[in-house]
Amino acid sequence: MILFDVTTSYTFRHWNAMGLLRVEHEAIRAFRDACGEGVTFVIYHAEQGCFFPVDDDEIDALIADRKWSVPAVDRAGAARNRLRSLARQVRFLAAVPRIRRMHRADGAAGGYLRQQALTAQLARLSLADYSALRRVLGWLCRLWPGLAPYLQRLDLINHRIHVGEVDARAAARFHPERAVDFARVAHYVSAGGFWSDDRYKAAWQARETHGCALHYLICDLVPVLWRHVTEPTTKETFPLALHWVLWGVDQVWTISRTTRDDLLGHIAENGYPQIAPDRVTPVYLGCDIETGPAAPEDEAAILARHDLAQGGFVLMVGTQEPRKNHDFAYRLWRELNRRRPGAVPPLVWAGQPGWSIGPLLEQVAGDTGLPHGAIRILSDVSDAELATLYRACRFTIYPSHYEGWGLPVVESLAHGKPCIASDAPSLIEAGQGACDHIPTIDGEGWIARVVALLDDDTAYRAACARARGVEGRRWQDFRTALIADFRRFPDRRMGAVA
Amino acid sequence: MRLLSLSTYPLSHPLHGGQRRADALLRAATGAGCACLNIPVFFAESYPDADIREQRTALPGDLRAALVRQGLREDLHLHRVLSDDLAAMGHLGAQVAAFRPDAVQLEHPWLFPVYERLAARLPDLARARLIYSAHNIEGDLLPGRFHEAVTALERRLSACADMIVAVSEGDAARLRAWAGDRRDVPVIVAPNGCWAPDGPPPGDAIVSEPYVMVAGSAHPPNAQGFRDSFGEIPGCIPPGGRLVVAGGVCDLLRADPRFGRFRMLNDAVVRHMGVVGDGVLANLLHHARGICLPVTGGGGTNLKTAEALVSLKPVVARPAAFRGYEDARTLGGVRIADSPQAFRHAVRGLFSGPPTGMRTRDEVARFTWPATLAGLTGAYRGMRRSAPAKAPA
Repeated sequence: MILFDVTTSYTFRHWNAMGLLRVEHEAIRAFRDACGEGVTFVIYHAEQGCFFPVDDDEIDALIADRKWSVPAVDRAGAARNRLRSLARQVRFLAAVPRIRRMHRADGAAGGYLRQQALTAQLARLSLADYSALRRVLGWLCRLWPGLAPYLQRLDLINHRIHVGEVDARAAARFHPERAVDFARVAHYVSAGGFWSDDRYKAAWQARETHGCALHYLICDLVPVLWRHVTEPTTKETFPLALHWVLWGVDQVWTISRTTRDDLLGHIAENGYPQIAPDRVTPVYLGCDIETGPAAPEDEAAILARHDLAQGGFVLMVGTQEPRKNHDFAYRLWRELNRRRPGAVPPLVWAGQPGWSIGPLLEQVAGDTGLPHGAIRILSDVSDAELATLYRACRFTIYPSHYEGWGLPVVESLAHGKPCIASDAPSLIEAGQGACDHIPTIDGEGWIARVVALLDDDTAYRAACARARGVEGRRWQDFRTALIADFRRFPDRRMGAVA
Repeated sequence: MRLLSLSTYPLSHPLHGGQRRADALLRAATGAGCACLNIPVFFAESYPDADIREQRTALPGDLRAALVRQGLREDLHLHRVLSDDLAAMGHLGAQVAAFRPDAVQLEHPWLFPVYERLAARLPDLARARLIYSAHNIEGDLLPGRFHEAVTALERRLSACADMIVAVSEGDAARLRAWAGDRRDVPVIVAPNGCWAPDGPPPGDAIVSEPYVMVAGSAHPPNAQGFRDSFGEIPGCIPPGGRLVVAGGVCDLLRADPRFGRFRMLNDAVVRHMGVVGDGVLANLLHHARGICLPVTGGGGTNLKTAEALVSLKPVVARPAAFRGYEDARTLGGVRIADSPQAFRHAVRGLFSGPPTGMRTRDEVARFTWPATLAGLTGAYRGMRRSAPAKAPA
């Protein structure tokens, strides 16, 4: 049996499809298409420490919609009057000891069943019912402070019900009896964020106990190599998770040769067990945003909504976080506007707000030396809007400090738009010789190239021709390469691990 | 013969290498028939476990703070804060006078200026023979701006001493040269060693996971060696395994921001035991899968190396750890790693190899204190048989 871990897609089902989710979705599709019934898609349940299978129809829906839609638990509506509300609260309080009696079993499974039953009971209270009950419980908590942890747990369940995060199918989906038995598993595949919980420990244990092969797709080593600009939780959880992965992995896919080299260097430098180099394979991502051709009126509407003109802006795509170096782009645009007042098109930052970016955004918003609208910040951009922005921009810039691959670079080229990027190794790899790579220490070099692409039609046309000359990789190529490499694995398994 | 030992640390609970060596030297002197007394002059806050007698000559913390404020060192410049009106100095003088030593042994050169001041007013002390017990060539270890002053002090003491004790042949050669034309001054090489394990076998393992061990005192080169050898990511320790660190070096490691990086990983893999007693240390050594000696700097010879060799456990070390133990490099179960990468590779191997070091007790007996200090014991006996004191200057 092949086990494919889809926990990331399930956990982050409420998010827009950022890079990591997109990669996992495509890998899911690859294995579903190639292996059919032979692959079991599973979700890891951290409290129980087990993997649980997902029905095939849910996976097919995920592939078709590019989003995992899970019905949320319905909560009761408002009670007709206070007496009925009080009756609901009393019923809830009476149910709590009953739940404890019904699910006495110790351990993770027992705890999970108690939590599920409690969630079901809490969903029978409206938000107003819970608020009233919460006031009473708050008073009781002052008398018996030992109640506080239980109350916090109730608050958390209530919050998750309120925001629609509680999976209506969770009770059935994660019933302890459905847990996957690793004795039947030959391969475990992870293409998502394996560091989000301790699923890597369960996989490692399964390999130790049952000998199943572990296959991981690793996008980058940012939390190790550039941890100072990494999201605060990830910079701690990722290195620990990677530690377990590297002590028990049979095959690794990376999304670039740069990441492959980084990984092998990390292994050699820090004393991890060696992995045979042919077990670490770059599998390149696609760059075709499969949204279909946009209607001209839709495209015009998108540009009008953001007050942008066709060919009249420069685009920078990426989560707003320090590693992407928005700071450099801001200073670049400020200087350009100082040197060429009134003759600099807007710079559009398209991407979700990330971490440690607040002070920079405050600077940009409050900078009197930057003309109003010189930098436009578009967050929550859909795939269709992004495709429109790529098609409509004059060119793109990407001064990122470090990347695992550099999707915005290849997407820009795929749309026939020139890109000026930093000289980070993966960006040079992604640029395939069709990009301008300028070190971010060379501010004058950047200014000169931006001015050339704005003013010099000959230079601009040449840059566009170079961009159009790059044959963009498709997601289908990614899926094919992934499956081909996976299928090569069983033949070379014996004796290949150093 | 009454032998007075002056040190900058108490010896009632010997923990770090200097304490252990000074303690072993006193035991050797006692074994040679000497009546011995150690008087430590030290900062109280640095050694809170000193016994009541030792605490009489402990110095208040504000003196140490005064040195730090002036950018001075608490070893080289200790004598500057020892004014005669200090209670500790009064106790020191009284104890020396009451003991009436035939010989005075200075551990390190730091208290030589204090000895000179006391000798000027205590005739018994001036008549006593002077033994310089050098633990290192200190001038080589301190920051460059202190090199000249330290070397001058070492030279002056070497030139005055009636006997010199060195830890290695290399150190002995330099100290002999500093002794000048006084060719009759004995320079005894007494390498570092350790006590052979004795007593009942330790009980159940304190650390339940399989682990390798590092022990070190709060001596900055220990932390530097750890960092140079293990790096910031302990990738050579498998999941479920541990790297156990014992001793004062834990405080240095935890205080260094470099070790705060990858905190979750390090917290999961590295177990800091802090300063531990002999019983706990014996337990940790007994149950370890191997002992790591990440020594890349410092001076003299390393007590931890002797302990590791005598424990019979597999040893993974950097070359500097075997300074003074060159002939032990080829013993069974010893692996010397020239580079950090080779060191990490070898540490990883400790978790898969046998937990014993393929050495015999006979092979390592020469690294125990009775063996390493045999020459010194003879020298003490010789000094005891000779004239009890020198003529007053």
